[in-house]
Amino acid sequence: MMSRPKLTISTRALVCQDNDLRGEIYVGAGTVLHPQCRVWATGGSIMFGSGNIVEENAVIINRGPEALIIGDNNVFEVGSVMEGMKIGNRNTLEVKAHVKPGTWLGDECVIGTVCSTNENEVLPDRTVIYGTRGERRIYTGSRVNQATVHTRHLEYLMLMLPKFNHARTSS
Amino acid sequence: MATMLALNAPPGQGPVIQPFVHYRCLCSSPGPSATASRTPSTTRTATPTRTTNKDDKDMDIDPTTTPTTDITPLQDLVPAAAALTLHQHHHHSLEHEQSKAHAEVYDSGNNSNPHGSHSLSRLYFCDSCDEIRCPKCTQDEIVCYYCPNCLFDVPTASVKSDKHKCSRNCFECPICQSTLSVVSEDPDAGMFAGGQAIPGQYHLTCNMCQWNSQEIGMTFEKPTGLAVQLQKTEDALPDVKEFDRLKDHLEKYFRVHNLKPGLPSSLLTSIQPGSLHSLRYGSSSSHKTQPSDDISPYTPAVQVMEDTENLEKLMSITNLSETTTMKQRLRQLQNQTYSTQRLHPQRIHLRIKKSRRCRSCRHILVKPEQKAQATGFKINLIALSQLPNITIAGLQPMIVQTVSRVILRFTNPRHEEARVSLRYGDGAIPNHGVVIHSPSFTVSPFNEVWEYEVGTMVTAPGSVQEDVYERTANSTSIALDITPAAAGEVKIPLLVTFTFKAHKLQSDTEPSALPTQLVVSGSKDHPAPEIELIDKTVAFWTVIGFGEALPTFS
Repeated sequence: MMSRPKLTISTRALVCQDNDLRGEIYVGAGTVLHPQCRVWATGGSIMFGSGNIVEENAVIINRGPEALIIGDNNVFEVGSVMEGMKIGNRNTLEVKAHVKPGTWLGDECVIGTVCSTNENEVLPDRTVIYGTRGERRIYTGSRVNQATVHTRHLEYLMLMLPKFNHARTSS
Repeated sequence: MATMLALNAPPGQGPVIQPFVHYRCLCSSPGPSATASRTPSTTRTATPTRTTNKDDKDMDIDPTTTPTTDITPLQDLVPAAAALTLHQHHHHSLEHEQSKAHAEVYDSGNNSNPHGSHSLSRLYFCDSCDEIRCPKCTQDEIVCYYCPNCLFDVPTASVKSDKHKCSRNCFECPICQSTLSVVSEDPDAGMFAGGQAIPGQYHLTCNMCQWNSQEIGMTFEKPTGLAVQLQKTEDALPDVKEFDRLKDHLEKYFRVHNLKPGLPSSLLTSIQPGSLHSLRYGSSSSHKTQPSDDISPYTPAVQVMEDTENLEKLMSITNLSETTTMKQRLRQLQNQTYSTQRLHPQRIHLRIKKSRRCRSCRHILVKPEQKAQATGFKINLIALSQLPNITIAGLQPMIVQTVSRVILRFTNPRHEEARVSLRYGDGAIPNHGVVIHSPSFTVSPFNEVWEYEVGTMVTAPGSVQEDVYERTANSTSIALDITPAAAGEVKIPLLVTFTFKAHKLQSDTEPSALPTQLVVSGSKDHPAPEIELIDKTVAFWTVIGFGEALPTFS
C-alpha cells in the first residue's frame, strides 16, 4: 500500500475524493480534480497552477526526479495520459490523448483525441495534433472563445461537483 | 473452445482461414453447370443428359419427363431442339415447372467455389420472385437528397443549382474535412437581444484541427445564411468565372445543333440510358451534316499563372505542411491551390438515400423513408429477415481423413414455423465426406418475447421431436460429420430447401387487402379467417467454409 500522499491544496481549488493521488502534490487555486483521476508523483512532485481541469480516468505521472510543473488553465480530458516533463498554459489533452515521457508542451497546444506525441520532443506553442494519422499543424486565430468556455466550465464544475462529491483538503 | 482451436492456425502458416457461411445468388453462379442452365441453345445441349443424371440422384423430377422427351423424335439428331421442347413441355404443369426450377437451382451452385456468394447480411430476398437477390442483380434509385449535417431535405429541382452542396450553413474544414462550427468573437452574442453587433464578429472554426477562418481573413456579419455570403466571393474567383465562360461558349454550340440545351449538365444529375443514347447519336449525325470544326476558337479571359512560378515555390518547400495535400486540392476543384493560405471552407456535399429494385420483376426491395430525419425503411426485404440464418455453432479442428463434428444452427426470422431440408452438393472439389444427421427438420417461429429470454427454451413436449442436436427458441441446431478429403480449406456446398407458410396474395389478391384481412380475422363477427396460407418452398445454395484442414495431428 502506498503511503499517504502529501497534498497541498489551495482553499479555492476542488480536489475530489475517490481518486488516486500519490506522492507530493501541490494544487493551485481554481484547479479541479475530478473523482477517479490519477495523479502519481512517484518521482518528483507535481505542481498544478490555477484553473486546470483533470477529468475522470485522466492520468498524470511524474517519474523523473524533478518536479513536474503544470501551468494554468490546462484541460486533461477523460482518459488522457500525461507523462511529459513540462506543460505550459491553456493546453488541451483531448479524450485518450497521450503525452509521452520526456515531452515538453508549450502554450495553447491541443493533443487531439487518441493522438499522441513522440518521446522527448518539444512542441512549440499552438501545436495541434489531430486525425487518425496524428497530423500536426500550428494554428493561428483567436482563442478568446475557448478561454470563455473554459472559465464557464470551471464555474459550473465548482458549483456542481461539491454537491455530489466529498472534497479533499491539505494533509 | 473447439472453435478457438480451429480458428488459430499453427504459427508461420500465413493468414488464418476463417470459417464462413455464404449464400449463393443465382445471378452470378459460376461453373459450367450454371452457364448451361442460364445461357441459350448452344450450351443447353447438355441439359437432357444432366437431367437424367439427376434422376439417379433422386432429385424430385417427375418420371413423366422421360415420356415427354420421347415425343420429339429428333432428340438424338438435334439435342438442342429437344432441350428447347423439353422446356416448353415443362411449362404445361406447375409441378414440372417447380421441379425444373429446382433442377436449375441445383445445377447452378453445385460446387464449392465461393465466388458470387455473399454473407446473408449483404443479400436481399425478393418475395415476388422468391429468389435471393445480390447487389449485382438489384439496382439503385435515388430517393432524396439531403445534407448530412443539418439534415435538410433538398428538393431535387434545386440540387443542380446548389452544385450538390448544402446551401445553408454547413461547411467542411479545408484542412481536415471535418464539420466547421460557427462561433462568435463575443461569446455573449445572441444572449442579449439589442446588443450592438460588431462587424465581422462571426467566424468558422474547426474543433478537430483548430483551423479558424480568421486565418484567411474570413469573417461574417451574421451567423446564418453563410453559404449565400460566401457564394458572392466564390463566384468572383477567376477560375469559376472562366468555367462559366467556357460553358456559355459551348452551350451556344449545342443550341446551334438542335440539341436540347442543358442536356450535358442534366446528365450529371440523372444518367438515363435513353438520353445518353440520343446524345451520342444526335451529335454524331450532326457531325455528318455539319463539320465539327465550326466551333469558334475559345479565348480564355484569364491567363493562367505561369507554371514556373508554382515550381519555384514548390521547390523551396522544406516542410510538407507548407503545401496542400492531394485530398485538400481535390476538395477545392475550381483552383486546386498549392498554398494552404488559399484553401477555403467548402460547403458540405449532399448525400442521397437510395431505394433498391429487383432487376427481374421490378419490385422494390428496399425503400427508405422520404425524410432525412427518419431512419426507418418503408420496404425492407432483406434476406436476413426472411431466410433462415445459418451460423456455425460448434466446430472441431479439421484433420484429413478424420471425422470431425460441426454444429450448424438455423435461426428462423419469420413469424411462421418453417421446415428446412438439407442436401450436400457432391459437386465440390475435393469432395469431402459429409454426413448430415438430420437432413429435414423444423424451426420454430420467431417471437419478440424470446429476445429477452436468458438461456435456451425447449419446444412444447407434445410436439414431434426430430433427431436434432439442439432446439432453442427460434433456432434448431443440427450436427454434421465431415471427413476432409484433402488438406486445405474445407468448403462444402449445401442445398437448403426452405418451406414456410406465406399469405397467398401476390397476383391473386391485391396486396392492399392484407392489412384488412388481418383485422377481419381478429374480430369475432367473422370467425372464418379469410387468409389463405400456402406453402412456399425456396431452394438456394450455401457455401460453408470450416477453416483449414490439417494433414495430420500436430
